[in-house]
Amino acid sequence: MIQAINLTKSFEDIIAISGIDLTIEDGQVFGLIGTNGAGKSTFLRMAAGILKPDKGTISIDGRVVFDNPKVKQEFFYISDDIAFFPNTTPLEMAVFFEKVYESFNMQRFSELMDKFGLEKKRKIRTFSKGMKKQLSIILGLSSMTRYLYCDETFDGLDPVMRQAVKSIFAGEMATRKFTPVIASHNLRELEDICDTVGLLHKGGIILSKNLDDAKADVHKLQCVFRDDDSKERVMKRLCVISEENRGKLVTLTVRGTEEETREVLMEESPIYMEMLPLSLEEIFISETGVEGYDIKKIIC
Amino acid sequence: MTSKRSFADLCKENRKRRLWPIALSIAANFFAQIVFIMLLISRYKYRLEHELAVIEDIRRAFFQNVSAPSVPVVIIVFGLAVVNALQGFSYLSDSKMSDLYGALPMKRSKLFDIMCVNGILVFAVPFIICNIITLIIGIANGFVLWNTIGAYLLSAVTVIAEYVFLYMIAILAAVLTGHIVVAFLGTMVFYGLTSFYTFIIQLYELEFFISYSVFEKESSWLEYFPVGPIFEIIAKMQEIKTVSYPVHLLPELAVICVLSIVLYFGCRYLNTIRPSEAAGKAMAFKVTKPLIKIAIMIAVSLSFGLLFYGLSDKVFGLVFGVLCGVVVTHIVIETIYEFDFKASMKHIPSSALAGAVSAFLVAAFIFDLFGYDCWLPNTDRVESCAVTTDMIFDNLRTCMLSNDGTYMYNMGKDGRVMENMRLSDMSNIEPIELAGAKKTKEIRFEKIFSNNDSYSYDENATLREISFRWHMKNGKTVDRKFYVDMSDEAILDNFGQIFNTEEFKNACFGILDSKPDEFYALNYTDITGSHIKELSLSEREEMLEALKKDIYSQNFDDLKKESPLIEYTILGNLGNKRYDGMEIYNFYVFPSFTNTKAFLSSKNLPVEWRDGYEKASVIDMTVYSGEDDYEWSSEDRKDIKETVENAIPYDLYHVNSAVKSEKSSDLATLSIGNIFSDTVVITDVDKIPSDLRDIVNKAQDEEETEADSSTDAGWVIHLNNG
Repeated sequence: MIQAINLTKSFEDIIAISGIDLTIEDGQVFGLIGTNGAGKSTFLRMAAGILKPDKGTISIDGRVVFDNPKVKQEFFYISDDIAFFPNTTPLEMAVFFEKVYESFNMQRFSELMDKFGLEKKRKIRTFSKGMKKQLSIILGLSSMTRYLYCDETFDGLDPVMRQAVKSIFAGEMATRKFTPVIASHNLRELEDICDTVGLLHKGGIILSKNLDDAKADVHKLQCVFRDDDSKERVMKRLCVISEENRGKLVTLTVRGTEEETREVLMEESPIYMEMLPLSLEEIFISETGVEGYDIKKIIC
Repeated sequence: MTSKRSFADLCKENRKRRLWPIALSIAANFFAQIVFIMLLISRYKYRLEHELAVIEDIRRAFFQNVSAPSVPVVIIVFGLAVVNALQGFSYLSDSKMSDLYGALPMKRSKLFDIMCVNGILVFAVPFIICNIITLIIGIANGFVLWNTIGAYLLSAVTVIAEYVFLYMIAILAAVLTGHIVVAFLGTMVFYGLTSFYTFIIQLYELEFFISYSVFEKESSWLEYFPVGPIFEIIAKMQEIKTVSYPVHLLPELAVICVLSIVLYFGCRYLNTIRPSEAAGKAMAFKVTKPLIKIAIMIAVSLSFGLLFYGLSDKVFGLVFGVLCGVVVTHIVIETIYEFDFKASMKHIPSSALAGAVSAFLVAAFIFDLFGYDCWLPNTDRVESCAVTTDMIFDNLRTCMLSNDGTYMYNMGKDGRVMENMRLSDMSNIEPIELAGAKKTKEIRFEKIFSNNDSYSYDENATLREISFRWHMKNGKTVDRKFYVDMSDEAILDNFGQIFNTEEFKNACFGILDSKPDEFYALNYTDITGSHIKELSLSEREEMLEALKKDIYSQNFDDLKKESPLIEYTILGNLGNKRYDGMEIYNFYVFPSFTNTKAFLSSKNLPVEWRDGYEKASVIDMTVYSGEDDYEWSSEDRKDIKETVENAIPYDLYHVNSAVKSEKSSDLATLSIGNIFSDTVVITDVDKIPSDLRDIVNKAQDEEETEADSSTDAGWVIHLNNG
């Protein structure tokens, strides 16, 4: 379990992270979302032991990360701006990481390289941006660490490759203790992979919630009411977060259990009614709206 | 790092990232050692074949050229120390690489060790291999003896120790900064800032302390820290007589070893606490920013001040220069710190502090706040003293044998006096010191505020430079130079008493130390030209005996009345000793030197510069007034006689400024056909031919009316011997 307590980091006059308390449980995919400059990369760099917090601590299983090699064996960090040694090949990088990470699996590296169709002995400098991202993911997965920190790693991958990576993550999670922590500014990129998400804004964490829990409490539905009075009664009885009208078709996002919502609606016998799937964005609109944030300005 | 992975494994892995520095190190060592020595070997063989050197000299030279004092080795040590340190720690300046290394499961201290050790190995391994190859070449050619291998080994260790020291300084710069260019600049600052301070402070002392003596004590390596010990080692190894490791350089070696260890642990600690986000920024630690800025700013502002003072000759220029230095340095450093020109308006207080310190230092020099110029030693604490002056024998040359007995070096009279004189009777010295200190107080503000140093070349011999070196009872040595009014009879008498002592003459006249077998001939210039006269051993003995008698018997009262008649130079018989010239001593013949004159006459050598002028058939003279030249010529025997007998070559005249003549006029040139031409001084204007006297007086009047003119008046005499 990764735990941040009152985590604070400033760069001269700029506060990048301000008093964050966050827990990342094992065995899930954790998404760290927020706008550019929200502090996602800073958080991950502190989690990776690159930056030393000004205040507070970040630890894995209660052990502080910074300058602690034993703890650092537990994760592999993939930077947003990936670095490889100059003039090296993937194989040379793998040999290096094999000497650094106790659990590095060379066989796994070879398998993944074959799977992704990358050449082991080709100079990395000849790789495209996407190929470099793939290589970094392969190296991260081959290190067989408990945690994999991915900073905007999916940005630059094509949709097919993105799906492939997601399925590999799923496979890894099924076969061993593996917890990817993925930072991204793109909600849609994360919504079909993350179990839990943390929303960062201006250096603070707005919320951290399991997506299933969030989905259980918020629902999106479309319906056509018999008359305006009927609609008014429903609106009064339900906790409506948002309302959109297109002629007689009304789309509502409401808070409450599915049963309660259905019951209220059925009492008014609407002409048409359908429950719609919620997007991650809508969940956050509902969640952050409670706390007074204008989510549309926070996320994109 | 994990226990599973060995340190050596990781070092090996890191060396894969250092391929070009390794290649550079191999190439540099190959050229600096193997190629360089191969080129020298052909020269050594040539010198041996032509008997220009003996094998011992060649062996010593070989040793010096493959070890610490070798110029190519010194260059690669400095160059590779900087390159390897900055390359090895370049990841600290690159945010991407910094993240890569920072996230690795490895302690920062261990990563530092790996980088550090590899940087040393990258130099040391090629150096040792090339050194061994060089030794094999030397052994094969007979230039290296097996019993001297130990010295070569110690020398190699010394070179590596020097490298490590310089390398650690460069690492310190890399750790303290976050940009490779700034790290390079920082390395240069660390290497040179102390030396620059020493240089600037010396210039200030020279400019603002009237009593600052050019014979100031030998510089300490501390003044050139941190590179001082290295140059001290090089200097000591250059002085060796035989192929052996000079044990007396071990203190310097110990200093650099200890400092290297301190730097290693210091850098290791700093690297541990260094913020990773510093990569790409100019400076890694906020606290070092003002410290380094202030240190540089003071040095630059002081040098700007001195530059502007030199250009303007005004104290205002000095103040303006200091201000300019502060502003320029502030803008440059703040712009570098922030990589933004707009940042030049930030952090004004630290710059103001640096400006205040600079201003205080300048004020300390101008107003002598620490009493340098008025300092005089307590006589009770003085063991002995050396005194010399520019009033007499300023052009006396002497030579000294180097400590190892292999090298003769030229030395002026004052230097010799300072090294050798040990006068313990202070009764005649103290009044001169007091008069000098008093005069210094009087003239220092005139000198500083109007930059008027006319007193330093006072032609009427009233103010003369008197230099003192006090050997204190506590072992310290202090030098001062005062301007003393020598028209004061009491002071002149005090100095005369000093001059009359055997101690003064032994220290002043190098010729008194001369041995007959040290030289073989005399060189002299008279009216007929320059000549060399070889002397037999017995003649040399005879000459030295006569000369010594005359020098010892000449007292100051004699000296006040007589100018030298002629100058002789002794040509050395140097044997195997190296020397930068053949003229090892010179001496002057005075009218009172009866024994010397008798010897010279007996060998048909001239006793006066003018000997033989009787043969001249015509004399020409050009008189300068500062504006026009006046020509004068005569074929009259009487005119020739009167003119030549009342003239003296300028150089001879100024050998002894104790002679006072109110009727003399300075600066003239004497020529005799194509054989002789020299500037002369008319010693008595009243005794020269009347028409020439009229011209001289006219020229003098014109010169006086053009007192501001920079051109000196003078007379050119041309003697034509037919």
